[in-house]
Amino acid sequence: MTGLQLRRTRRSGAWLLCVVFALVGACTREQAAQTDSNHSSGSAAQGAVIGDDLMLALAQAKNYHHKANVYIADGNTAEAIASVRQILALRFPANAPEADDVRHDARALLAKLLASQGKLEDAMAVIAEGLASATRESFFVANMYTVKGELHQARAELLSKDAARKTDADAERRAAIMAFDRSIEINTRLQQQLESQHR
Amino acid sequence: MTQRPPTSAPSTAPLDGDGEHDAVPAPDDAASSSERMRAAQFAELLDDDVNGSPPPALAVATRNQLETAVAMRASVGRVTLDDAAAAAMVASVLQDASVRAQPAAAVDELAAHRSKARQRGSRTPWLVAGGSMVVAAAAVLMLVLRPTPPTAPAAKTNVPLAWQSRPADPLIGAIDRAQAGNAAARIDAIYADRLDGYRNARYAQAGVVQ
Repeated sequence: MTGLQLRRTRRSGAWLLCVVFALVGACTREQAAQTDSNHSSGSAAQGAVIGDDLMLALAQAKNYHHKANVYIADGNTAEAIASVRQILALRFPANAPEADDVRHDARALLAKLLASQGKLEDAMAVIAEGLASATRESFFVANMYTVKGELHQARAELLSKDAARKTDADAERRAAIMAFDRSIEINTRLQQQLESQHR
Repeated sequence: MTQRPPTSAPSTAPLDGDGEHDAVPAPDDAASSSERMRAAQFAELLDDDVNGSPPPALAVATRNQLETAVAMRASVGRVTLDDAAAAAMVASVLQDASVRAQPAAAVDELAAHRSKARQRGSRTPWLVAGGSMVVAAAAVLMLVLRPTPPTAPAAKTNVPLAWQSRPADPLIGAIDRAQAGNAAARIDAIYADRLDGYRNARYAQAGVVQ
């Protein structure tokens, strides 16, 4: 290979490298932009103008709640539970803050309904799932901790009937207190934040 | 070819004069003196012709006889060239060949043309590849430098807060334990508030003045 050919080959290689680097850069940039977009939409649809889809989901949740209230008033707790479960299956706009709030509130009600049927473990599972899915602190999350405290309290009362399980009952009471404290803590912090925003 | 001076004296009398012709002798008869003399003269003419000397003016019959004799002599392969004549002939042939051959400049020019054509031929794929790369690089640059689309199209800074999707905490506030299960009342409040914002946003988008 002559010197000229060598130089040509090197020049072509340099061009090829430039193209490859540019492609990689473009892909990286595209990916970064997409990631930013995902993050921004993830941190909320918060800030998005209220649309038909959000209003439809809220209206559906409202209807299911009132339907459940009718069943509760009628003494049909099972149907009330089924109606509230429908709220958890509603399709909200992605990452809409209202979706979390409505679902947390529905879980709190569902747990109380289950507890009223003596299904404390199921009720606790519903709350645990809700707390695990929470992405931010809110009054609705605090409310779930309140219900969790009530569930621990109900367990403690059941256990206290059995003298042999006094230790377990005490543990449930301590757990109830911890849950109530957590709820109070969140409420206090959020309240302070809201007050500071209004000032 | 060098010419030799003729050895035969120009004949003043034609060899084939009608009056000098002998009668046709019989095959076994001895040659007469006149016949011997004419043979000697003809031999001299033949020698002169072979040596390159121009023949003197001859009678047509004698010239024909001379040409026939030269042809017969050549056909039997007795024509030879002396060293000088052979060298001159070889030199002449070589000179002709060198003159007829292409001159060095022309050969060089042809080689240069061929070289250029070869270079052009070998350069063409690189030119095509280079052009393709330039186009590709331009496309990539356009891709890189194009304005990025708004990453959060929904986020509008000039949109009133009431029109926006947002946490319901400020609306609901802390939930009293006694109201922990009263989710219906809270969803009513949330729905009413968001419906208000939704309507205002739609009216504003439609240009309706409230």
